[in-house]
Amino acid sequence: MAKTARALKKSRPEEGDRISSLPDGVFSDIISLLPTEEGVRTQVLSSRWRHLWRSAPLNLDLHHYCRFAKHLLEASDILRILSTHPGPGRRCSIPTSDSALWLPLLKQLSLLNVTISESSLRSLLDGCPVLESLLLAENTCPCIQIMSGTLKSICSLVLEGPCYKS
Amino acid sequence: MAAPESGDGNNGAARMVTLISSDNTRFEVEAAAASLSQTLQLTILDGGGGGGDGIPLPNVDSATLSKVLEYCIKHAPAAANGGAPNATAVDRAELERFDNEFVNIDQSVLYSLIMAAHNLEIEGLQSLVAKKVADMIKGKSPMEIRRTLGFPDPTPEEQAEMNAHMLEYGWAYE
Repeated sequence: MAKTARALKKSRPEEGDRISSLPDGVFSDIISLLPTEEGVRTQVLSSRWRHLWRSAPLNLDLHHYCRFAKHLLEASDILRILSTHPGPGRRCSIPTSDSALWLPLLKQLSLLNVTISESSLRSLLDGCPVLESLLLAENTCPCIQIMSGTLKSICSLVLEGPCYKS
Repeated sequence: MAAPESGDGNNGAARMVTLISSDNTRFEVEAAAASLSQTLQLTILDGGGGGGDGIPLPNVDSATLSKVLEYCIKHAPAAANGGAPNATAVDRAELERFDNEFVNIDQSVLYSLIMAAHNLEIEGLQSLVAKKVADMIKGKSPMEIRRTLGFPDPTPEEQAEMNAHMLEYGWAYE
């Protein structure tokens, strides 16, 4: 830089709730970096923040809850989180071994750019009894056989590597 | 490769552009550094900002712009190498050290930076400042966060809402 202006003496802007004047997109970035439970807690910060967690990319990692928490997290809590988030999701890590995720009304599921094990995918699909449309794209998943009486369409956009059979 | 003052790949002398802050201070900076801003990139590619002209930035004051450019100049060489996939561990550690120190600033400066990074669409800086605020929030109770961020004390109605939320999402308040 040829010329660096001397930083003007910083005039102290009024302190206080200055962060609330920032645009929503900024908060989405911030909230999606927080652990799940801390993201949830930002909803009570102010009326401005109430909807932000729900619209921010979802960072859902609930593994330690099911084992250690006093308030046992129930499947209905997870469903509420998923159903109140229009998306997108940054991360979704849910223990499914003890209590499988049950999505009785879900008809359409898209997994884009997701790393998922065969057993998790199978368990997820088992919990979707009326699933009609499944989109799998750019996922890291081993070969899997999908059995379903309701699926009408499976779209798999994988160029190489994993394969899907229906 | 990540030498601080290396050129921008233009044969020989690096191309310079001028940016003009809201308080009319002119900053001359390498085009490669200013181009970390998605907002400015097209203008610069079109040949703007050179010569006697400058690119006016009516939303960014000189103190903030000076700070933003400090970031851009430091990160431009790595960005020019496509995120520096071949950067040595030493280069990366140096950028990390710079970043940590860079956001060690008081909150009013941080908020100005967040605003500028957002307006100028400087991706790396946006992530860096978002992470800083996330770190300020992490591990705190809602009341502590309110104080940290400078919110006024909650009204009785807000307090009642907070209590209701804590009941509804009990698992998140362990």
